[in-house]
Amino acid sequence: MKFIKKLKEFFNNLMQNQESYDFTISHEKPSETQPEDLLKKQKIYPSVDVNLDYIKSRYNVLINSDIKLREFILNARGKQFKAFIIYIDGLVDTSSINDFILNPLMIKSYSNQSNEPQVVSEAITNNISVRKVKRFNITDYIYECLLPQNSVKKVSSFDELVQNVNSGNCALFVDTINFAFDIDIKKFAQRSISEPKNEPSVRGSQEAFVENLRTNTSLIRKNINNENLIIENITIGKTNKNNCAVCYIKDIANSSLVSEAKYRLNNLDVDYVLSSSELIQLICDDPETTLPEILTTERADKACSSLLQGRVVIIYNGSPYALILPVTLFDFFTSQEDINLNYHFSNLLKVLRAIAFFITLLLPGLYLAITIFHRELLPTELLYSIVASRVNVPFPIVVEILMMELSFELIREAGLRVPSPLGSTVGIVGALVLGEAAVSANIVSPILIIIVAITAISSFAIPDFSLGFHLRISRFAYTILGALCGFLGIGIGIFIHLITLCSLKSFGVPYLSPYMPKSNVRNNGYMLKPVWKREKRSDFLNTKRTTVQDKISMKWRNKD
Amino acid sequence: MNNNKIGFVESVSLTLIVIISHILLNLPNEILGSTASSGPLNVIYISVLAIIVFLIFNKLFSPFKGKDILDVAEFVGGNILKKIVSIIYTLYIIFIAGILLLNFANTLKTIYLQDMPTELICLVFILIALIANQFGFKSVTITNAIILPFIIVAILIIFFALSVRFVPERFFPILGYGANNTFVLGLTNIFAFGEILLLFLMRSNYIDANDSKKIGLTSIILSGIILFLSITSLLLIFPFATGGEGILSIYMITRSIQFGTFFQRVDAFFILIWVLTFFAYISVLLAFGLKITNKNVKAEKSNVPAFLIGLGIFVVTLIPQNIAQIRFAENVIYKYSCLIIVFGMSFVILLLGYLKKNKKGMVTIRS
Repeated sequence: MKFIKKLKEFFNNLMQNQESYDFTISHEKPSETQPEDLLKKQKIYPSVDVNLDYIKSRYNVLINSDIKLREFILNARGKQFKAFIIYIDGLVDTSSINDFILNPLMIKSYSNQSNEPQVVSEAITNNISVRKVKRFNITDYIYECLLPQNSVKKVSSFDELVQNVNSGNCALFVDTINFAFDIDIKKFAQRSISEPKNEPSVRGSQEAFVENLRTNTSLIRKNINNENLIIENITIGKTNKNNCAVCYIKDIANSSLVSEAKYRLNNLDVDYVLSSSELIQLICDDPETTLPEILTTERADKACSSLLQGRVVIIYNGSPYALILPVTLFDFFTSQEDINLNYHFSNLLKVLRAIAFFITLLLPGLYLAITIFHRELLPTELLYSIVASRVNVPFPIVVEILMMELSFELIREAGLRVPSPLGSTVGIVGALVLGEAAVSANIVSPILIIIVAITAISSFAIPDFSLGFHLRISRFAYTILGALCGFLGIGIGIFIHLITLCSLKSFGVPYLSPYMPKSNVRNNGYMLKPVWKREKRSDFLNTKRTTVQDKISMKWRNKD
Repeated sequence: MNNNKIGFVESVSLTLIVIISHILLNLPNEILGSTASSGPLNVIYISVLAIIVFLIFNKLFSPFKGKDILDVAEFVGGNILKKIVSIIYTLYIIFIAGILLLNFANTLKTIYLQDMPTELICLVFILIALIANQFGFKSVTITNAIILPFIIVAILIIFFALSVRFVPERFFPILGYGANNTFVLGLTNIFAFGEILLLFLMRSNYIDANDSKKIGLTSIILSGIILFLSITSLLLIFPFATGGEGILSIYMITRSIQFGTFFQRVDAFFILIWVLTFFAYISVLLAFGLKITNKNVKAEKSNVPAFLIGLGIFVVTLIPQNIAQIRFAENVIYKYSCLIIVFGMSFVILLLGYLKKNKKGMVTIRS
């Protein structure tokens, strides 16, 4: 017993002597104000030397080659003040800095040398002149007289100032002033407005968005002549603070929709967002689905027509694609070309796209299901010819079709990645040479080439790139399901697909609107109505103004 | 707004899918078997009866606006009666789902999936229904409403495509096995409208509670029309003596359809439609089973009740050992359980609820 007691003591002591390590992950929240945060919330000092040191430290001026600091003596009404400006080379218009910032501030002109006080008002009574004189204030004087710029702001926080300098502004610090002048003189090299490359249109506008936010917003402003068009800026990202513009027409767009869009954008706790595609994943309702929930467009006219319908458009700085929300499935079948054509032609194209949708989604799966399980569907002659064409093919039909689909995807991917002059070569080698050789070598049957080719051509008829991707992925699933259990498999795919579509929402709008749940489809269905009959805005958008035009829009017809 | 609220189209679709699934299997055969050439007449008769029964039920429901039959049961007999009624309804739903699914799985196996075990086919349907119910009641109802038009179009195609081959003489004798079989014994065929149980259960889900009468009447009338077309097609194509032998009677008549020269036989396309119908059918029944369960039990994980109901359906599919047992379960057990539970028990609950409500109303007025 004593031994056991001793043994217990031994182990207890052993445990106590051990240093205790805590390997658990702390769930305590870090303190609200980190040193870095404190630094960022720092207010601008009245001393220009302190500000200079701070800026040098924050911008790592000694090693940063494009950060330009220019110290000088500012002349104002005969007085001299120490000052400096900071800007990033390449983001600003240097001639503007020389001509409209440094020149007025440094040059000793006659008017600037006068020490006489500024007269605000003067009254003469009984030959006695009474003058009301404004006391000299350096801040007001610089702002009102020495900075001939259209956009100058007084900023008192380093954080805000640095953010603006990073986006191409110039900051002016003056001794004795505890804020800085933030002067907007952005000018950087950018791509000029060109025609849309990925959404071409024969008769539509030929203006596409570029990477610059302000240029893009100006394209929208240019096309929508209405003061109710609101363009709100929201900053996204902590490390890389990038701007995005939320555009909507105040008296048309649903306020809840606008609030929801802004709420989602304002509540992104991310270090950086590189592109609008990343932004889509961060703000969409269900990021797990492969179905697109936000429409992207590079066409300024498409963005404008969406705004006029009552939707919200988000433009992200650095991305040439605008995001349109909310959307329904049928928006992805719509091309901007549709509204530029006679509605009969547009509807024909829409029907073709719908057929293409089903072909690209189901054809390989149906082919497998029919040839493996439901041969009774085919006429005997056709069945014979299919069987005869496959006599020398050593692979099962499912391997054959998967092989061809995979080859096609490879050709498509290779065609995109190679330099553009080689793109067509890849297509020719892939489609013609490889296809022909594969049939000659009895690796695949000729009828299968036809099936894959029709599927591929149909996939190109889908106007939206993201929906095209969804169809490509789904097609593989249908192919496997069709091969496994024929129409039962296809049925599984269709049912799961349908229920996914029915459950999906884009910013609160059901994905199958206006058909399911059913709302007003008379004016806003899949098929396009003539211009004079597009009287109402879509019900599902729940817009403030529901009517687009009067019942009789062509008043000139009633001149009698 | 409650996410489970459904509109007119969705509600009608939910009830129609149940009767159509039954029509696709053995219902027309069964009605023709008991009434012979008076099948269409019997369908008109039971449809009118179903409308009258529904109007009576609707009248009994009138004091309970926006309430379903479980709420009425709770009002009548408290929580205990509600739980008992819920268990009976859930078991009934599990039973009809399981039996019809097994029948359909056997049919699929006979038609083209000879190498696949029936259990596996049933399991596939149940799994898909479980997945569908993960998306919620509303999604199931909307999906069902999308699929239904295709099914109705398919039935119309069958009717019109076969109309050239109809033999009108098969309508005669007009009273089939006699007036007694058509109108007295044939009364039990009202079980074909057993889907009105769903109308009692989904009353609390209507967007507009005043629509209940419209929804009910539309469902019964459309069901009657579809049943009439199916039975007429079957009767006028096959002599009723042989018509009853076919498995999946509607499928059998689709094999007679000739469509140009491009398709040898188009029946496979109908298989695709039937498959979708059964996915919708199992999903809808599972959704209603879940709805009943959720009214009684607050499960920590919503998947558990769904899984248990799915398991119940699967167990039911394992019970019958052969086709004869399936037929017995479908023609006898299903028929009489439907008459007792849907028409009998529900009527008693509603009647008691109506009387209790009226009595309370009188007491309130007197006091």
